[in-house]
Amino acid sequence: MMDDDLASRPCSWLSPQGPESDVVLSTRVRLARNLGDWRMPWRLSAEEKSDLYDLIAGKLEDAAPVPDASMERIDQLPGLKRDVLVERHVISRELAQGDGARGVLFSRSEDSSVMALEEDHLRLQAIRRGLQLESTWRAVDLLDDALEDVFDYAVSEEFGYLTACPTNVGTGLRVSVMTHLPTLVETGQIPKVKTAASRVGLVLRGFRGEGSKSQGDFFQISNQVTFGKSEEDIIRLVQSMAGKIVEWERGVRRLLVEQDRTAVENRVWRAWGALQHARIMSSEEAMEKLSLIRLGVNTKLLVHLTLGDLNELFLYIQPGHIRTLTGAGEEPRDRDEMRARFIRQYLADRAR
Amino acid sequence: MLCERCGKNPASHKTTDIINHVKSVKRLCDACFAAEGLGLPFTKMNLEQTKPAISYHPTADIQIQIVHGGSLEERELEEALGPTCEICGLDLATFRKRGAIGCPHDFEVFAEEIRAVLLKLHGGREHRGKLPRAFQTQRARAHQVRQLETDLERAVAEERYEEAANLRDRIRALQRDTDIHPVEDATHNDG
Repeated sequence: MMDDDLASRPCSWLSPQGPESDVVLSTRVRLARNLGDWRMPWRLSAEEKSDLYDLIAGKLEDAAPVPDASMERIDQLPGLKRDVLVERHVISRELAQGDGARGVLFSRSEDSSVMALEEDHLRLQAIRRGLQLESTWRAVDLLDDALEDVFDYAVSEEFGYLTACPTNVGTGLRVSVMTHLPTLVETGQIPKVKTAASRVGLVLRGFRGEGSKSQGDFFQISNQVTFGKSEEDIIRLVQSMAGKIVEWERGVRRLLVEQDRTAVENRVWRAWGALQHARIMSSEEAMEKLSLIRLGVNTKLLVHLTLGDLNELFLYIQPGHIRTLTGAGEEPRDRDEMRARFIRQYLADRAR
Repeated sequence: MLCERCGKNPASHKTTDIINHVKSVKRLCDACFAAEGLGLPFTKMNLEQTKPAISYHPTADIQIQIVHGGSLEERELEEALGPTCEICGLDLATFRKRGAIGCPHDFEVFAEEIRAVLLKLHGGREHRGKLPRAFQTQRARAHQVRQLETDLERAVAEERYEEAANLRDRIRALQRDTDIHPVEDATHNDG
């Protein structure tokens, strides 16, 4: 069950001790799976969905593939709690906003989850701090091994794992590496990064994945190809591209500080000032300012906060978290005032 | 129940339309049924009767009526519309429009179309990578059975009956562990 203090603690995978954590926040790997005997979720009636949900939830709870995990029925959860789960990457926006019976299996550690009746019958995911493709893939691969004994997956020799959308057919694998690229944005390099990624079948997506805009200079590096390449090949491809982007961003960071340290400091400290004193702060503005603070911490221009604090703040300032943590109402204005107050308090506590 | 079109006569026909994956059911009287151009001839498929090998959820039973005009032959019409999946009712036009697959069986029904889409999207022609262990074991056994059957045929042709009997036993043992059954029953080959 979703406990009430969920929103007030950081996600385990946001801890800053991960590899390449100066640029990479987290690594997420998910697998799309379907059951051979059922139509895809979009072709099921409300009653069928409800029946299938009960079947899936029962099997997941019996198999217990994730230690100490339990099922959360998303369609019976208030909107605010759904938002919190989306912001923590436990569930997708699609699952939160879908219709009919649907849910998620997850545990307190939040590093693995199984969504039921999203676009596909099952979506398995593992998420880890920093750049850790191999181990994150191994975690979801093991989860999948456990579930293939319980569910009769829809597969074919020619097409591999059968999914509702052709974009996922084959391996059903989607890898997403969340990177923070403030100086590549600043120097206008993002289009070049995008071109380099697309040349090898990868894509640079925004903060919230497919179709979303970048916020706070966060970008996800994901694979587009799922069919005709093995999981290991896809993992290696993303690993190699993510490594290059990390080096690219680090190089530009060094260069900017060398060229005009004061100009970088000026922007970082202005952001600090705004966060310390603003009375109204939208989540977009907060992300933008915190992005500069993160750059300042990583280039050692600012030492008042740790990367861990910042990763936490990026999570807490999201709309669902702010509302849960401060009791702010649904009104954006109310939320923005509470957000400004929350950040001021947080910084005052840390910078003492 | 009264006809949903005129509201006067008792409804005697039930028509089901699936448009953009929204299913709508209308109950009509004889006159309105004809007036809407839904008169005979039509093909009626009941899924319970044409149920495929895969076991299915009971409510997957949908009645689909294909209505067509007088001049077109049934087969021509089917070609013009493209195939329709008898399990989820997805037709080619909806598949193209939505770009989404309705059920696992669609991968057989729309195999050609799906191959083209996958090649365009992924540049791939066949799956490489993980498959469930049980599926792989079954695939390996099926392959082995095919191999042994070829050997068996040759052994029989060459009148090596003792070897043939041996091969037959091995094939039987493999088939006991799986659901694979040969087209022709090899048990009549008395070795």
